[in-house]
Amino acid sequence: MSRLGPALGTLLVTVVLVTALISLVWTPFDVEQLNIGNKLQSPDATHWLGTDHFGRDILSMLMVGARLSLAVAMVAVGIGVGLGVPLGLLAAASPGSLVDEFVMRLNDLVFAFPALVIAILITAIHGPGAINAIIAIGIFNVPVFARLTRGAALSLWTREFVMAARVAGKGAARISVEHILPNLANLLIVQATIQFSLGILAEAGLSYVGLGAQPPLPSWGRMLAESQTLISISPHVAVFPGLAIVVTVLGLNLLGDSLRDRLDPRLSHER
Amino acid sequence: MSYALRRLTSLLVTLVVASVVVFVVVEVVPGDPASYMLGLNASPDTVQALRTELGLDQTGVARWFDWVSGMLVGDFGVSYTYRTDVASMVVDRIAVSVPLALLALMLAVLIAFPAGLVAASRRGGVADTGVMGFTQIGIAIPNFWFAMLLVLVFSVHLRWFPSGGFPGWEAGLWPALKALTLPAIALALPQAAILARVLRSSLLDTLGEDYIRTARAKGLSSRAALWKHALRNAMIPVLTIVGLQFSFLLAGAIIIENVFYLPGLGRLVFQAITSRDLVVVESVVMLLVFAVVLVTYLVDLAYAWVDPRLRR
Amino acid sequence: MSAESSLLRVDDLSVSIGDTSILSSLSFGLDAGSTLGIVGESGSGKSMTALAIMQLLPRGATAHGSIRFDDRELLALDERELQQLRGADISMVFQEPMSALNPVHSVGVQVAESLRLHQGLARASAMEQARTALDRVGLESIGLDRYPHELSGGQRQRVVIAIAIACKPRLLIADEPTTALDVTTQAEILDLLADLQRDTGMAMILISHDLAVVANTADSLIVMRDGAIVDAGDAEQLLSRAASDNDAVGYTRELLQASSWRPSLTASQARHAEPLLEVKGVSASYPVGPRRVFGVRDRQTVVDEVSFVIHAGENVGLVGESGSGKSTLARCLLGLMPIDTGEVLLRGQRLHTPVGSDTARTQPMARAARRAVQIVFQDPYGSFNPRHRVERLVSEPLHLLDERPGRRERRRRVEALLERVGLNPADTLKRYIHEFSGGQRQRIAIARALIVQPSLVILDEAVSALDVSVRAQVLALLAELAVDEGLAYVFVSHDLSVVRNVTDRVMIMYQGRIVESGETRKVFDAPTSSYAQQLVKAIPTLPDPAERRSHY
Repeated sequence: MSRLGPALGTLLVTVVLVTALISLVWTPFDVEQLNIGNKLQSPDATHWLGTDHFGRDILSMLMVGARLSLAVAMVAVGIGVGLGVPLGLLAAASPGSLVDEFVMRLNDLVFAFPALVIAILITAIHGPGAINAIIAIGIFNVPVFARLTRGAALSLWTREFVMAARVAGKGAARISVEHILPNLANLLIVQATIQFSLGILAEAGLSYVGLGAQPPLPSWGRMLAESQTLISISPHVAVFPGLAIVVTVLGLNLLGDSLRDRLDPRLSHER
Repeated sequence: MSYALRRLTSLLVTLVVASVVVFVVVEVVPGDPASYMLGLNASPDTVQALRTELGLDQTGVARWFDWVSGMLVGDFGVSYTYRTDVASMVVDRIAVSVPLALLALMLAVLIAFPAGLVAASRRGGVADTGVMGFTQIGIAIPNFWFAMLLVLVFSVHLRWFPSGGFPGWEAGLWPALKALTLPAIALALPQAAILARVLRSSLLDTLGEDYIRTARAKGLSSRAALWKHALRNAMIPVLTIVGLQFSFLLAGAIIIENVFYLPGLGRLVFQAITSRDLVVVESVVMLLVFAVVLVTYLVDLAYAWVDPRLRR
Repeated sequence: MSAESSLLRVDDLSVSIGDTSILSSLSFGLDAGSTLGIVGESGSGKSMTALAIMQLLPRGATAHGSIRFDDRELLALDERELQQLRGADISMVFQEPMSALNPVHSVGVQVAESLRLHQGLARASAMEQARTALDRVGLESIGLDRYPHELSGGQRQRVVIAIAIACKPRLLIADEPTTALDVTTQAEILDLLADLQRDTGMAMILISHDLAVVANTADSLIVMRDGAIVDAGDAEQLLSRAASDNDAVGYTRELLQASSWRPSLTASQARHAEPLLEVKGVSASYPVGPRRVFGVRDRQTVVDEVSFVIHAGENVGLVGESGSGKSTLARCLLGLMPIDTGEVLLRGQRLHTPVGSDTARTQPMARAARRAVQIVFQDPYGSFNPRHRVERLVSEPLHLLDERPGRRERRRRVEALLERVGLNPADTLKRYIHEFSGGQRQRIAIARALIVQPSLVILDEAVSALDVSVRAQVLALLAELAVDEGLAYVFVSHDLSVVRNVTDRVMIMYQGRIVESGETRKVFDAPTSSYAQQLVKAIPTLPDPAERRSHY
């Protein structure tokens, strides 16, 4: 398992990424082309993964759906890192100050709103859509990164090399960028992988309940929602989108685990 | 116990601020909630009638105050679409959602603890590898898809459990529990996988501590050291996860309710979104936030129970 | 040490983890009621020897040879039999009292546990016995229901000892029992162990890196290096043999010299002309406890109205136990910590005056002043950013120059300094800090401090983490640099023997105040304040062989 994990993780993530990229220029069939006469075909040589209730090619839809899933999760992680990390650094630079207090209370506040609840709130006012999903998951990510950054940065601030930088006359902002951030990088990379895979799951969940991307944009979660009533007649319609999610999340998690093992300072030669 | 009080104050502050945020998002951002709720075709008279009913002629601060003070005494307003008391609707729905979340949490803990303990105590062995492999897959499976597969196997093919719907508690404990069984399993398994992994790694961390060596030097077996010394210390990070999981379970329950057509808070809030019933959305969201904050507080108290260093 | 009467007999013991040999063919014995001292630097295998006797070796370690305890072969016993032995017949005390106790159980429960386990006592009577054990180690005032975090380091170590002696073992292994403790506490714990041994007649193995710690109590000694015994024998004979030049084992001699080493760092008395640094009535405090209404927190004063002067080229020791305020004071001098009252003058220029806020990490302090005062920290690893190369690490203080040198000039300066501290620049510049040994790291730290040509260098426990032989080399380097560059040093340390040997003047800090200061020799020979007397008395010293002989 321990030797298999990193290789499998890299393989799965690469496959999903490559598939998503290919879908930008080519898919086996047009995903917006409806062909009712050809509906609910089982997998065969033409439609490798069969067709759905509108006769669309499931493989093509999964490829385009991968693009959406990855994009939503990636931007949401970007929001989390982009807002959370600076907030965490800022709070750690003056622990106990009003800024710190503000950041921590903000964290508590956002933690009280699960991503789904944020999405519900946004949708209730602005209607559903992929952008809402990104914002909801992104907001949810912010305190995750802020808290992680603050905690780790606080302990780094007490390290002697940071004190040495202060003796060298460097200010808090400079120290945060030169000394704190590089030593947080490993931790952040690992957390970003975790949040990325959680983002994929969250996006699928939001699409499933109709709060995510809207038709005709294919998304894994909505494909599952649409297949729900057909599951006893044509199980393949429900099985493949689910497998796509499992494969992506599993790959990311395995990759995250192996990154953590490799980057964990306790395990590396650094100490 | 000043620790408990300190945490209580800070969480109360969180709740108040959260209520302001929800209020602003739902009632201030859309401009005129009344015309939003009624849609484009509403006549000015109807809009004005709803404005009066919602008390929109008052200032924002006064409306927020009315809303919050109303909720404190159990008055959640009147649903526009259902024309009934939101409070009584919510109570019916809570009777489904909360038992579902609790059942799932219980299942998750019951599965995760033995699995995590076995994996940690036989580190590197077959059991450990097996548990870790299963948890890896368990985490990757979306609960609503897992729910669909469960329905396919246990309802459609085996016909052991209903594929959806809820007979209500008045139909008897057994039929009600039977309706909640598959949803609870679907919710619990991914959470159990996470919990088992956290418990395992937390236990392994604790087993490396000096006090475990002290315990072994006293003559405790490695198993006794794990039970008497490692487990309680390992609970500290596990509790954090259990607390976080409750909020995931609550969110997950909303989704799962849709798979099984369960009349819980989740169904209610989606119906409310579709019918633009902001009064219901607002109240249900606030209720969910309250539940998350309450659980956070309970977890904080549990910390102090586990860790004497926090009892100050 | 005849084989018949031996309580413990180790023969040809080897331990390896995988292909790596940790211990190679150790043989020694220990009679009932006597004390064996094991001395060696870090990595010498002394702790592993203890764990081998306890049969608590880390995962993957295998032991060969023979360990006989009371005529039972420990290597042949099964786990159950070993568990009956551990804590009942053989007990152990560990180095780190902070982490050796379980934070979530009360001390009473932890002491009672081994009694319940080995003597089958019921809870109530086990607690009664635990009370007796705690009383025996001098914790009469500590309730059974107290938790480890409520106790001081010395008290915790007493609890660990109480656990170890609760079942009246016949052998107690103490692995660096005092290394993590202050010097006065160290003396108390060593006295307690000696006391317990006399009263109960148990045998003891006392392990330390410091020859002076074990020399006074041990009947026989083992010196270890790289997993093997390099010297062994009767303590008295071994010490006098090492002290006299004749046929002494080189390494024991080295350890002995390191313990009583005196570098020529005291040639500076003549240069006391101008005052370099003047500290006038400085106080500093930290916020403690929970935040109150309006965010105000209680403050605890850690530096209390301290005044002193340091002259150019002077070596001053700042001595105190943990919590005495010495590190905080050092931080005040560096401008890393705001002061509440008083002022700090550098060559007559005011460099530091009180400011209000307690949390700001940026302190307005003139560049010129910062350049004049630099620091070398204790932890030779932690004081460097692990992600920067040596060139960048050493050149960091150049940030303080008003005109920063270009790349070439910067490299030239770094190279010159690396050479000055005895490192080869070509080998060093492009490497990361984890690639160096502790001693090399501390040389790099010295280079970093000197790159802005300071007049005063604060050495904050700068040699405490180094093994004795390396420590001597680093101290020699510092002595040389002091003379060449005309540096003044402040040695901040809890290690009195180092301070005694290398400073002109010493200040003793206790509870935030300087309770005694003066010429080092005078203070150590005839301390006036009661605290200084207590402190000086507690320094572990190697016994004079002649004096020791008269003991018997």
